Amino acid sequence: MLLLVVSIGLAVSIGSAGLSLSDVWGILIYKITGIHLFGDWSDSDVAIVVQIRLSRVILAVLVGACLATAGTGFQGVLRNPLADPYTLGVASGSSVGAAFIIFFGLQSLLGLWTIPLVAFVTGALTLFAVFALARSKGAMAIETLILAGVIIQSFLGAFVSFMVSMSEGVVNQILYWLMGSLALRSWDHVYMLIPFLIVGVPLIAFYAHRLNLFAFGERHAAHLGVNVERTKLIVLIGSTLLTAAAVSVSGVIGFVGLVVPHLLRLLVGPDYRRIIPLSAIGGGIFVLWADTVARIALSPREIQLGIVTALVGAPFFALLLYRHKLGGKGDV
Amino acid sequence: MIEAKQVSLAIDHSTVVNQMTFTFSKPGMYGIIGPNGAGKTSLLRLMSGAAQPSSGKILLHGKPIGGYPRKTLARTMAVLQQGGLPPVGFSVRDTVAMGRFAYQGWFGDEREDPTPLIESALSRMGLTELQHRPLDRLSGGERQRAALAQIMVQNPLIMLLDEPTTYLDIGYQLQLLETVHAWQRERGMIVVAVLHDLNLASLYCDQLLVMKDGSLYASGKPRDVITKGLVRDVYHADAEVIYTEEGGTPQIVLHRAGRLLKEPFPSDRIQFMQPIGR
Repeated sequence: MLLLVVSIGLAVSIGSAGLSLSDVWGILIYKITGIHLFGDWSDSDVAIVVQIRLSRVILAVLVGACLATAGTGFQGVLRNPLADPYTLGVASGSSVGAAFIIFFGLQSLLGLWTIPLVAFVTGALTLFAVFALARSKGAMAIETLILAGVIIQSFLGAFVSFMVSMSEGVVNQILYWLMGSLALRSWDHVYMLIPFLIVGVPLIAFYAHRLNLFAFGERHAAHLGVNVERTKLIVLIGSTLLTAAAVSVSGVIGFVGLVVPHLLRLLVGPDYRRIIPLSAIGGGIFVLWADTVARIALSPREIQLGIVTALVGAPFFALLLYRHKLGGKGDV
Repeated sequence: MIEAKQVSLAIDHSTVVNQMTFTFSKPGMYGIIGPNGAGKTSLLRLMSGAAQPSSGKILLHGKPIGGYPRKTLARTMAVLQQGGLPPVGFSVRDTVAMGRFAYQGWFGDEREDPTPLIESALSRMGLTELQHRPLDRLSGGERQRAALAQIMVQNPLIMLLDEPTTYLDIGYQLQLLETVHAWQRERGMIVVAVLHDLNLASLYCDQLLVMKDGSLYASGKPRDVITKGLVRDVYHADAEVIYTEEGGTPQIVLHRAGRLLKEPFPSDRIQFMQPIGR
């Protein structure tokens, strides 16, 4: 938690506009408390800090929290150490729905939440399709599930690319949807994301105890008294909802839900009652730093956020796969 | 009390449990024995509510087992599955404590402190020293003991055990069944165990159910059931039956196979390992 606050503070302070540290903090203190403590700034500086930088930093934290919690939920309920919104194809599925709404201009249908809700529906359908593809004789092998996710994901990715190239948009927007970005977002997006986070994270955290029992296998959990079907349904819905909300504002950012829960497992052990809340915080920190790197590494040009997370996440994924092949000890 | 009424289970059009009827009404140790593929595990799955019967029904205290909510069922019946617990990262103590799930409220709280119960299960299974070690650093036999300790804290009245002695050497097999037996007598439980070893089954069980090809082949007290003829007919094995001095418990002594087997290696059962290239 402390690390999160420090990270937010640092990330707000860094940027391409060349504002000094004292100016940034002077503005923030002025905005929060109304006292002009120190620094010498103009109105446009205030706009940069509050409207652009702070909103983006908060948004990065929220998106990260959504994705990491969703990843934890998927891993827990599927008992699959390689599951995450991205590898399961749910993120791509959600992006198809979101892209569809945006490019056909249907946003006004249900107001602010049109995009995340449609993204949720397409994300859930995708998850369903991936399960159907991966299931054979009632069992799902870990690798088969991920393979099915990758197949569906590339198919849907092609859909999104097609929609974008048919629209007036520039090529950059394709990348935006496929690789994710938090550029040009505003406080509106923050407000859109918050309700999903408030509902989704406690919902999954509520089932943490049951997910612990899931580690012993579904049937064993049932014998110990867990309503397996209901637990699966609710955690999968919750995780898909969080994924859809995150994708609606940021496009597809991969591997967050994979890296964060695994690092936490190494740090605090296998207990989901700790991992789930810490995932929300850890995911926030991870995406925040990834986005900060995306903003400043080649400043003033931006890298896509998904590129940064993939550069970290893909090798991590490979490592997990390798360890799983060696016997998968302690992965789940 | 648990009853089976004309219960059958078919998987992919082949009948694995066929029209079985029996009642376990009194506390005691009930053993289910029979050759591989006789349907013992399937019967146990039906009795635990993990599988729905294709026809007939399983009644627990007079009500169909499918009608119980999972949590209610778990307070009455505990199940030890074949293969025991997987090697996960939870400590032995945490694992055992999870056996209390069915008694916990929405936030994992309990009316009474379960600590004494957990402590006693740990010490009974000889796991006190190992309690802080994660399961993935235990041997198969130690994990099996942890699994039993977990269902001990579940405080069941009916316990279903599917081959509880796999992974254990003779000493631990005896010790485990001795513990289960003593615990059964103490609490007046109904214990139903699928056992592979006929000698262990007749040492510890009050009643035996013999299954063959999905049907009930014989049932009764061990000294009435375990005979030279049964071993020959059900297992196609040649054995002598001897009786221990106290109580007349039958124990079998095997002869070399061959005389009775027309087909020593049924081709659909045995697959030879192919060398796999690295």
